[in-house]
Amino acid sequence: MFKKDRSFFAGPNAVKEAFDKFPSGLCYFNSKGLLIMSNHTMDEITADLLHKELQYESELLNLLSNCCDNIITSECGTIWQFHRKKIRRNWMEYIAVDITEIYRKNKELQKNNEELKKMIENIRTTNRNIVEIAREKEILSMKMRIHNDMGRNILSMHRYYVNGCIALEKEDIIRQINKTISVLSRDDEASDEVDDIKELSEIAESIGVKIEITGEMPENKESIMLIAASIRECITNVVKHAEGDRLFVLINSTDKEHMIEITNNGNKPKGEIVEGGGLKSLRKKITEGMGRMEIISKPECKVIITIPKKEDELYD
Amino acid sequence: MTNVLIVDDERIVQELFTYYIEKTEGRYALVGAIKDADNAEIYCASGKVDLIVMDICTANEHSGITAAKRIKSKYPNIKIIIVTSAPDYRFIDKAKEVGADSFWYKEFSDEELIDVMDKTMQGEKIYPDSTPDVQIGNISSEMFTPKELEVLTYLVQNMGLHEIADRMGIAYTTVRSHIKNLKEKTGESNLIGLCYLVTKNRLILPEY
Repeated sequence: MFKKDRSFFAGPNAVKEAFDKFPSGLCYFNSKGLLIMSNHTMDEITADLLHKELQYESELLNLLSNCCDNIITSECGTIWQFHRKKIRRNWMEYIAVDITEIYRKNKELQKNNEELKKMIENIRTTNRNIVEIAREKEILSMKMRIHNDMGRNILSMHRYYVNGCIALEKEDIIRQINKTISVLSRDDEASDEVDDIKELSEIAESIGVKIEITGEMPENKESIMLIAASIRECITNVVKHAEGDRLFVLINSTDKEHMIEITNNGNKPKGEIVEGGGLKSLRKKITEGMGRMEIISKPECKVIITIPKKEDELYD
Repeated sequence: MTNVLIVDDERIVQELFTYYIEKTEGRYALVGAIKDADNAEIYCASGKVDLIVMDICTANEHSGITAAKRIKSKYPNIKIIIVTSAPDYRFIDKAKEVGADSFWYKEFSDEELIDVMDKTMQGEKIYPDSTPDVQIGNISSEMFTPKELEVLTYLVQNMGLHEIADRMGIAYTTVRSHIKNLKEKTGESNLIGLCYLVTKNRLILPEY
């Protein structure tokens, strides 16, 4: 189909010319490590780095042994990355690619990422401060309401002293003032830190359910919250369905996970427990926390939660 | 007598509301004051609650509105008053969507909480006419259009502009146009500054 045109086929000189003009450095060593071929680019690179003509593979290997990722910067500032490959006859092929621009951009990207990380941390700190400021504003607003009430109490006292009033009104004024003072006096008490399990226990007691916890509660907040969610759901169910007044929480921990078994003293389930919205929601939370949940219906209702220990718990 | 559950993560707020309830001397009785909205359902299951005064931003970042939705679906007879000090523009609509009976601003409402409680127990729905205005840069929040507020909400939630366009069903260029308008209106030259202003003034609280 095609005319045989000898000029179309490159002769050996053309191949040599292309080899020499190849923009990346290229060289080949035989099985004994002796240089067989090297293009001009590689000659220039190795002359720059070795300050002599390259002859043996060991010279190049020695140079690369001191570099990270086979990246070398030449004296003129060009950055070369070397790639090494065994080809047929056990020869070694070396290609040196100019990565100056990519390297520079990568460094710039790393610097931008560092700055971005700092900005993100600043934003996080700012957000925490915003939350704290919002909280302080709310507290101030509440105190102002109390202050307004105190103002009304003082006006009432004033009316009492100016106009007098019946005993009942006087008692009412005293009662209101005492209540306002008691609100203010509790202001300096313990902090607003939330103890999830303590709050749950208090709530349960207030509705007639006692929680008995055996075993050591984890300290990691995420683990505590998952356990609290499990206890919460079980309290609701013991009240609604089992008509019990005791919840038993057994915590066992291994090196890698916490296992929590929750039972109660209420009525035993009549059949298989069907997961309603609450249990489904709990299962979703546990699964998202990389844990497992099992519900046993016979001989008694038992909820078994297994949650992996978090990183800070693994090194305790 | 109406049994009231208070849900608020600030102790002084719990104290204040308890004080209001005690002042009614028998009309209302406090059954509990808790910090985490997720715990409210326990009281509801016990059958001891008639009315919940529910904060939106509660402990462990549990939303009072989400809790209200669950409670209303299981215990529709329990009345819920949503309370907040945050002028987040979405809260009133969200509260209505979940079926909350009333809504009260801790800082901005002229009406006393007890009056709102009385009216709510009588079957009224008490809601503010609008969200309080807050200053965002050079303008008041009432000057934002609904679409601009929507774009702001997604920005604060860290969405990219293309994602915002997909979510809103509008062109990418339209999103950019809204952002340009927002910057011009507020006088804020960059997005991070804009998001900061919005969250600092609690016009949008992304966690809720």
